[in-house]
Amino acid sequence: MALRVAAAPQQPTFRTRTSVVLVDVLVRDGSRPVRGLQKADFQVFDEGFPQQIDELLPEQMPIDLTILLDASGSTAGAIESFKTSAAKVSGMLRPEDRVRVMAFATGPVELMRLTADPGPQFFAAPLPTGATSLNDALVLTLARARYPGRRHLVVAYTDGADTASVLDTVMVARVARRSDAVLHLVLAADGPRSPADALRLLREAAESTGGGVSESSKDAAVTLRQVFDDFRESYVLRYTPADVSSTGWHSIAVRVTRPDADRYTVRARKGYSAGGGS
Amino acid sequence: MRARMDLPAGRARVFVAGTVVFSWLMLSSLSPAVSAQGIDIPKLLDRYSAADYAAARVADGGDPDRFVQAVERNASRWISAGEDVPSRRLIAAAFALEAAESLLQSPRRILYRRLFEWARLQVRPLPPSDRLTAWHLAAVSLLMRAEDWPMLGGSGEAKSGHLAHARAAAPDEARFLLAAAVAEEGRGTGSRRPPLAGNPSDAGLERLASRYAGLASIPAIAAEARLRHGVTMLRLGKTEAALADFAEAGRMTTDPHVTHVGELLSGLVHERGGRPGEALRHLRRALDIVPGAASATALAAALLIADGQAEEAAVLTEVVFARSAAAEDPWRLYASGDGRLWPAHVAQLRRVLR
Repeated sequence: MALRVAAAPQQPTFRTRTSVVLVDVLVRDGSRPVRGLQKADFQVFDEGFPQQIDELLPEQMPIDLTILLDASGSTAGAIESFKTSAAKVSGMLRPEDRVRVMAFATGPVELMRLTADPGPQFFAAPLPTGATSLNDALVLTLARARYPGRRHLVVAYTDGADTASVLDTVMVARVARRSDAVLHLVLAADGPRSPADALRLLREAAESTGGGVSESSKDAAVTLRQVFDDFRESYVLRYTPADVSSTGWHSIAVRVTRPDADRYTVRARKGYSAGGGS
Repeated sequence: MRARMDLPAGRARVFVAGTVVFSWLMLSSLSPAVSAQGIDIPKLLDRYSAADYAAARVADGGDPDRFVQAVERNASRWISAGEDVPSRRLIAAAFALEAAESLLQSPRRILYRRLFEWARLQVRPLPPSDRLTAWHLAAVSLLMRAEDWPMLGGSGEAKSGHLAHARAAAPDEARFLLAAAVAEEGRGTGSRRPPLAGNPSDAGLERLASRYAGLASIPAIAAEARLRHGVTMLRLGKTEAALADFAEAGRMTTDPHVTHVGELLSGLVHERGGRPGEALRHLRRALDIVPGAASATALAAALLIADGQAEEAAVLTEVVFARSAAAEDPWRLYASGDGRLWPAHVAQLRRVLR
């Protein structure tokens, strides 16, 4: 996540070329998020060089949540679940958070625009039908405009199979590495799947953003709640890169320095693109 | 349309009331054949022949199974109830085509074939005419919309697909020649992914390429045939020949479906060839032709983000979501050939039946 921090909240912003970098970091002890960490408990490396952490941002930063639904048959359960779960999802959000719902089959559609007040139903528009363009839909979702001062989480429900995209998973992984959003994939427990190497690339794409992959439970809204809670429990570190190039791709590594950190799992984005180019 | 059902009002009321009571008594436990009588096909055909085309939209809340049974059992009564039986046959067959199309996006899509077969039987005895050609154009575009290549081009034991009948009725119709080649292409594709995994030794693809090369000499379909020749060249791994075809197809027509797909695939070839700048030039042209087309936007956005131009990528992407849900992506429609022409063909069919 690399965002401009101070700006009018309702104007979309785009990939930053500033020197301030924000990094979402989820720290777990087993299955439990580790709470109460301080700025001094973290180390950040940019291109291998240790960085001074300016600030550990408060968790109250507003969140924009995008739910992306694969409308092909094997994820029908998740879609049915969401049809009756608008209230559950609304209940997850704080007043300053927003949600939107997108779906894709052959092509993508926006079922519900970004809103802080989702109302009683998510699916006013008809669901798309046809073949499955997962890769194209992921890229189109990650490419959408960002808003300053907000964190963006994309939760995609899919079986992982793609039958119709112009893009391949290599391209998805390339775009994800440069995205400001955190991508989490929720894979349907059954149905067709992509080849193993495509699934591996999708997993890498999600992990490169600081997100991950999980299996869908029977109630898709329950899975969403787990992912959303994890995201909300994550820390946001801000640093100003020093001793590194101001352009190109930068790898990021985050460590927790507490004595008991060996047993922690740290999940953070793998890098960012500064000033254009790869 | 001249066809009408001449039933005295009193008898009609008795008939309808009788039908309602009978249906009510028999419902739930009834066999499908009996429950089909609850749908008044002659009345629907009267409405359709009076230009109330919503009468054919079986998928709008009705019971498709009962509807199809009712057509099969009762529509022939309506056909024989008037003097101009050939016209009534064609009207009923047009009604069945439209009803079949309305089922394509429904859970009972499989039923569309029964309606289609029934319609085909109605037009089989009719002599060639412009009206029959209009029906066949709509019928072929329906089968392509459904990507039902066996029904269209024939396969296995059923060697003779519907195209054989269409071509017999209108031997000079160029779209049927193109449709036959597209059916061959559709049978061999099995995927909508852009065909960049070339197989230079595929004899079937070589035959298909020859077929499209021949069709490219017919003015009415030349640009589409040239585009499809280019796509076949891609499948054969001959990217330079493909790029030349796409450029030529673009010069031959202003049809946005052809020019957009040519630019999109040119962009894809250049992207895969490691020439992102050239790829973006083609993709921007593609998006000038059809703004917000999802495939071209996804590829352009990916290239722009890789180049650090996420701002332009976001602007392009928002256009996709600002369009209506029904907005079309020409590449997504490529596989189904004349399926994209269904609205135009069915409008023409309605005109000639009036």
